[in-house]
Amino acid sequence: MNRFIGSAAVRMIRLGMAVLSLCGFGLAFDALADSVWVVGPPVAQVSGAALEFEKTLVAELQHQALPSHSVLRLQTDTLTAPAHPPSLVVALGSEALLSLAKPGLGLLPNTPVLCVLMSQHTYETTLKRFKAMASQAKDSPLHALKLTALYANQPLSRQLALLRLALPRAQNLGVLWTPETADTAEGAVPSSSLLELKQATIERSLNLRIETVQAGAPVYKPLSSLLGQVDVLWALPNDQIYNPASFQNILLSSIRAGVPMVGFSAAYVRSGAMLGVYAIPQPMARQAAQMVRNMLVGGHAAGAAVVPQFPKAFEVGVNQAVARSLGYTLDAAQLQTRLEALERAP
Amino acid sequence: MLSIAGLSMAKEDELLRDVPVVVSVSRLPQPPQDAPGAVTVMDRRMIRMSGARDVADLLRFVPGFSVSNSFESNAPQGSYHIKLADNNYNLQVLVDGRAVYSPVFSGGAGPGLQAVSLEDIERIEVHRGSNSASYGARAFLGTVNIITRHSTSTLGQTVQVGAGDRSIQDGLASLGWGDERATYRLTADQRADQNLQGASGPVRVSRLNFRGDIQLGAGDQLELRAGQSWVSAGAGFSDQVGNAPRTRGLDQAFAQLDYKHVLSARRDLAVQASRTQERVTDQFAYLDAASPYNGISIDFGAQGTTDHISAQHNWQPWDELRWVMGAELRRETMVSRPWFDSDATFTNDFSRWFTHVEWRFAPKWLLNAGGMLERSTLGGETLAPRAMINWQWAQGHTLRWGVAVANRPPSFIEKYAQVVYRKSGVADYVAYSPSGNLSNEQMLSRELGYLLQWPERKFEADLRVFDERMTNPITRLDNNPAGGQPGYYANVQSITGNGQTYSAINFTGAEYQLKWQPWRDATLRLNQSLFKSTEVPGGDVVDAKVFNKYRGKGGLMFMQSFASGLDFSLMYSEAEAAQYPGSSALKPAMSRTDLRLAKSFKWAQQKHELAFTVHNMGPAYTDFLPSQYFQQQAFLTYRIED
Repeated sequence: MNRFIGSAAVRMIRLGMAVLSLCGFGLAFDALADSVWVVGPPVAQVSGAALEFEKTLVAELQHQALPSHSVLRLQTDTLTAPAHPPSLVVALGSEALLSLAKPGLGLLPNTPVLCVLMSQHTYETTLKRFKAMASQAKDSPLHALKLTALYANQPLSRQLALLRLALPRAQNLGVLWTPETADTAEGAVPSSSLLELKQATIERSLNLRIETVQAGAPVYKPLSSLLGQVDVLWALPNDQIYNPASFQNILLSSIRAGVPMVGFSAAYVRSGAMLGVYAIPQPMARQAAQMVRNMLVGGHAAGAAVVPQFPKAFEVGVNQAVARSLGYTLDAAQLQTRLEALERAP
Repeated sequence: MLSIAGLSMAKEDELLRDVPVVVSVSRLPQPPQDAPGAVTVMDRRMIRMSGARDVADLLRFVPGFSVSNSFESNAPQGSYHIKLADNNYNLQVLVDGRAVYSPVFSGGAGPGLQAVSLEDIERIEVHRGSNSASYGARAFLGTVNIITRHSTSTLGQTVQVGAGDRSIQDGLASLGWGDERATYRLTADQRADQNLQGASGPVRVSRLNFRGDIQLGAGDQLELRAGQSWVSAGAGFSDQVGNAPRTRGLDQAFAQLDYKHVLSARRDLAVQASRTQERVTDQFAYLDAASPYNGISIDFGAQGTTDHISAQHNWQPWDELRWVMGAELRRETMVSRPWFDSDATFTNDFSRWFTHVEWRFAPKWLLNAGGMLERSTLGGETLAPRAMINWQWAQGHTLRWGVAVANRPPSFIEKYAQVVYRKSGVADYVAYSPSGNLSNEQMLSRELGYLLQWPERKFEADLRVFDERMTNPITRLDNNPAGGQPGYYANVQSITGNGQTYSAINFTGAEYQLKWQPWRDATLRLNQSLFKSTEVPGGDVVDAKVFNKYRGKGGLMFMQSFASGLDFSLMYSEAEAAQYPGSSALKPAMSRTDLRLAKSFKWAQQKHELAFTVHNMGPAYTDFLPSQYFQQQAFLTYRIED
C-alpha cells in the first residue's frame, strides 16, 4: 500500500516537474529578468534521492529562498540562448555544468553557477573540461567565471572520524585511485585531493594504502592486491572505479576477503557496503537553496567568490547483515550521535 | 543527445543514484559465533605458507584429523575421528559446492581432493561433525569445503616451478583474463615425485582447470567450471601375492554450472548442475607359483559418473530469521566388470529435500535447525535432522550445544561386489560376493562447543567436546581361503572384543583449535585433540582391537611475514600410536616438523617469489602402511606473477 502511494507520489511529482520544465522552456524566451535556472537531465530520467533533492530544491527556491524570482527547470539537451540571461544557474550534475559551456549560449562568464549533485572529485575534473570547452567558445574570459559548488560527498575529516569511531582497530585503510590523466592534469585546478587524503590519514595515525587503477583497465588486480593488505576498503566517489559495471564485483571481492567496505552513499550501504556516511537529499537541497540566496543577495553576483561547501547534515548508515557477517557490532544511531557531537565540539 | 543524457545520468549522481542489492542473504559468510558447529578455516596465506603440495596434507592442521600422503589405495586422504581406511567415505568433500566423492571408490574422497591445484584455492573450510542435514549422506562425520579463488583475483599470468629431493618436479601455469562483465582462469599444473619411500613407483598428478565468472546483470551471476585431472601412481608390492607392483591410473573430468540470482536483499536463488566422470585403470598379474591361478590378470578397473542438479532458495523474512530450502537430484553410476562380474551399469538415484532455519529467537540465542530427507536406490528413505543452539552469553563468548543424525547408504562395491577370478581348467575363485541385506550406517553425534573471540588481542579459540555413536557400521569381511568362503560386506551388529560386546563404534573426546596474532604479521595456530574410540573388530572400517584409552594428536603452525618480503613459517604435527588402515598392527607415534622460508620481490613489473621448504625435518615416519615412509624432503619453488 505504502509502496503504491510512494510510486504514485513520485509519478505526480514527475508530472508536475515536467509541466514546470515545459513552462520553463517556453518562458525562457519571455522577458522575465529575475529568473533562476535549474539545469539538469530530462526530468523523466531522474529518480530516487536525486529526484528528492531536485523537488526540495525547486520548492525551497520558489517559496523560501527567492520568492521574487521565477525558477525554471531546463534540460541540458535543449538549452538555447535566452533573451534575458538568468540571475543564476544551478547545475544538477556534471553534464549540466558542461552544457553551460555550449558556444553561443551567452551565459558566461557573467551568470553565477552553483554546481550540485557532484562529488568534489567530479566537480574538479568536470571543471577542467568545462574550462577547456569554454575557452574554445572564445566568448568567456575564464578568469571571470563565477562558479562554486555544493559537493555531494562528505569531507574527509568526517569520514575519517567515523572510521575511527566505528572501527577503532582498523589501522590500514585501502583506497583505489585513478591517476591524473594528461588532459585533466593540465587543467587550471590542481588536484590536491590525493595529498589532502594522505595528510588527513597521517594526522590520525592511520596507514593509507593506495592502489592505482589505470583508466579503462579492470579494477580487479589493484583491488585484490589492496584487499590483501588492508583492514578497510574505503570507497571514495570516483566514477571510473565505482560504477554500475564494477561495484558488484568490488563489493563481493571485499566480502570474500573479509574486508569491510565503507561506502559513500545510502544505496551502497543498502547494497552491501558495511558502513557509510552520506548526505541526506532534503537538507542538502535546503543548503543549496541557501547558497543560491547568498550568491544572489551577497557579493557573488558582483564577482566575489563563494567557497564550495560540503553538506552540513549527514546520515550514518550500517548494513547490519554485512556487519554481523564480518564480525562487527555497529549501531548506526549511536555512531551518528557521536559523530555529530564530535563536529559540534570546538 | 539522449544517449549522452543517459550517460550523464550514470555519471551524475554517483552519490545519490540507486544501485541494486548485491550482497544478499546467502552471499554473506556466517560469522563463527553463528555457525552450527566447529569450523576450521584455512585461508590462502596459510595454505601458501604451509608449503603443502597436497590438499590432504593440510588437513593435519585440523583438529581430529588423521592424514595420509599415500597413493597406495587411491590418493592422499584425511579422516576425521574414524581411522584411515582404503577409502575414507565418511567425509563430504565439496569443491565449490560440487560433491567430489567417488562412486568407484566406495564414496572415498581421495581422488576428489586432487581435483584442483592448491594455487587455485582461496580457502578451505572444514566443518567438524556430522552435517548430513545440509550436505546429505556423505557428510557423515564432517565436511571439507574447498573454495577456489574467484577469477577476478587471478587476472594475469602466473608461472611456478618446483624441484627438490625425491625427484620433486612441480609446475604450474595459470592465465586469467576478462573484463568488467566476465573473468576467466585457466590453470594447468603438475605434481610429480618418487612417491613415499617403499612405494613401488613414482607419482604424477596433472590437472587442467577452467573457471569463468560471468555477470549477466546486477545480482545475476553465472559461473562455469570444468576440469580434468590425471593421477598415475605406483601401487602394490613385489613381495605380496595378489598385490603386484603396477601403476594405477585415476582420471577425473568434470563440468559444473552455477547460476545465482538475487531476488532482493533478503532473497536469493542458486542453481547448480554438474557432471563428473572417472576412470580407474588398475591391472596386474597374479603371480604365485603355488597357486592354480598363477598368471591370471587381476583388474580393479572401473568407470563411474555423477550427475546432479540442485536448487536452493535463501530467504530472510526478517532480521532474526534465515530460511534455506532446496532440492537435489543426483545420479551416480558405476560400471566395472572386475568388481561386479558383469558389464551392467549400476545406478544409485538420489532425491533430496532439505531445509534449514537460522533463528535468533532472543538477542543472545541462535537456533540452527534443519534436516534432509533423502531417498536413494541403495539407501531407501532416510531423514537426517540436526539442531544446534548457540548462546552468546557475553561479547566474545559463545557456547553451543547440538545434536545431529546422519545416515550413509552402502556404496556400489559394498552392496554389489562380485569379484571372481577365472582361469580355464580351474574352478572359479569367488573373492567377494554380495551379502544381500546391507543397510545404512547411522551416526548420532552430540557436541558441546565453546568459542572464544577476543578481537582486541586478535585471538580466537574453539573447543569441541563430542560424543559420536555410529551404529550398523558396514565392514568388509575378507574371504576365508581355507573354507572357500567368499568375502563380503556386512553390517556389524554386535561383536565381542576385549571381553566386551559392542553394538556400535563410539568416539568420545575433546579437541580445540586456537589462532592468535601475537604481533604484527605473525600468526600462531594450534590444535589438539584427545579422543577415545571403542571400535569393533573387522576388516576394513574398524579396528581388530578395541581402544579404550584416549589418544592424542595435534598440530602447530607459526607464520611470520616481514616487510622486506621475507616469509617464515614453521609447522609441527604429531599423532600418538594408532592402527594401520585395515589392520590391527600398531602404527607407531609420529611427529613431523616442516619449515618454509620465502622471499618475494618485484622485478620488471612482476612479482617473484623464491621459496625453500623442508618437509619432515626429523626421521622418516610410516604413512598408511608399515612399509611406506614419509622421508625428509627439501625443495625449492620459484614463482612469477604479473
